[in-house]
Amino acid sequence: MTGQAITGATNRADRRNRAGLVLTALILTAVGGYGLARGWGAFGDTAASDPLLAESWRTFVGRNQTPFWAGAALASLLLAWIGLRWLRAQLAESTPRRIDLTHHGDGGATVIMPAGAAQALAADVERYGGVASASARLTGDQDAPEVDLRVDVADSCNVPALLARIEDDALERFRRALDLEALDANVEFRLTTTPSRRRVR
Amino acid sequence: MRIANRVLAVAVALVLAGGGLLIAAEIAWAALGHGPLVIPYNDWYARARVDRWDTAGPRSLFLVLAVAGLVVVALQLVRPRPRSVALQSRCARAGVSRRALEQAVARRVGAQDGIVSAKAAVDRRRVRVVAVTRRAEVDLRPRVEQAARASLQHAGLDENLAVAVKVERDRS
Repeated sequence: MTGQAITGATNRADRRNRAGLVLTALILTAVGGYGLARGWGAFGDTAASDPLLAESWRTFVGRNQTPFWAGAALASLLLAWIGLRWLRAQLAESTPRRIDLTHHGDGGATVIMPAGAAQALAADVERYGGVASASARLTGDQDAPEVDLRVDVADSCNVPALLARIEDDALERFRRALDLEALDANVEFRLTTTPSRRRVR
Repeated sequence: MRIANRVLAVAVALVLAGGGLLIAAEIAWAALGHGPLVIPYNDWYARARVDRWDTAGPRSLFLVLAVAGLVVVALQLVRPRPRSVALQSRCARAGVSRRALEQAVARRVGAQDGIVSAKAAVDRRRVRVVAVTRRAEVDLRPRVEQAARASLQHAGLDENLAVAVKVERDRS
């Protein structure tokens, strides 16, 4: 894979936050801008001296009380739902999601604990030369699981060679162990002075 | 920036969730024939019938909304420095932590003979290295650049990032 200019610069949660905040800010700017423009007479002096709640609006609401308030309640609930989803997304980022990797066969089911599998991957990578420590986390969902791998390596480590070994060896073995057809992986290397904890297989 | 965005996102999400639920509850409560629960909507309604678009109160409110929106938009336009610098890879998305890379480059440059201290800053295209020396007579720039390049080479990033070197004289 040809790396984009930068990877991991903004993860999914960051991108969602950014998009949500830009949308919210644009709405605020539009409402504020319209109010200011109207108050300053951009739509004529009559519009500027109108009351905020025009008579026509009050008549409209008065004539359509039930559908109007039902619609307003639904819109409020929709906003609340969006807010709750957004809040949940913040929490989901900090706590690992539970992914069901159970395999159902003829004679029963094989249950794979995501945390255990990720730990095994990290331990596998820690055996490689130049690696000081490694940690892994499974994210995504059952249909499209992803693994985030963080590897602390010595300054002098040949990172491209290590990456190739991780891709060809550790990640491939991990994918096969979980019986996945495809696995998206995000690998981040951190250069460190900590000596390698290389273990002999 | 990312932390500020997280805090801001949580605040906006809380306002949306809390405000949305509260408005829905007020509507349901009013439909049952009761008065306001929390929101003084009768007062707001009475004021909205009297206040005009060109009066100070509404103008101030709209100004606050517009400024708040513009500030948030401006903040989102600022591109943060990358969290990691991408590596060429076959199937995984891979990168080297920017902060760790900066520290590694600074360590290697700082270990050069004649260098008292060094700092490195990585952005999307290049590494800026500032090295401090007490030697005035020798040009240490080539050696500093070589050391920085060696760090990048180990990380597999020597082709991705340019190196800019500045050697300063320690006058203390």
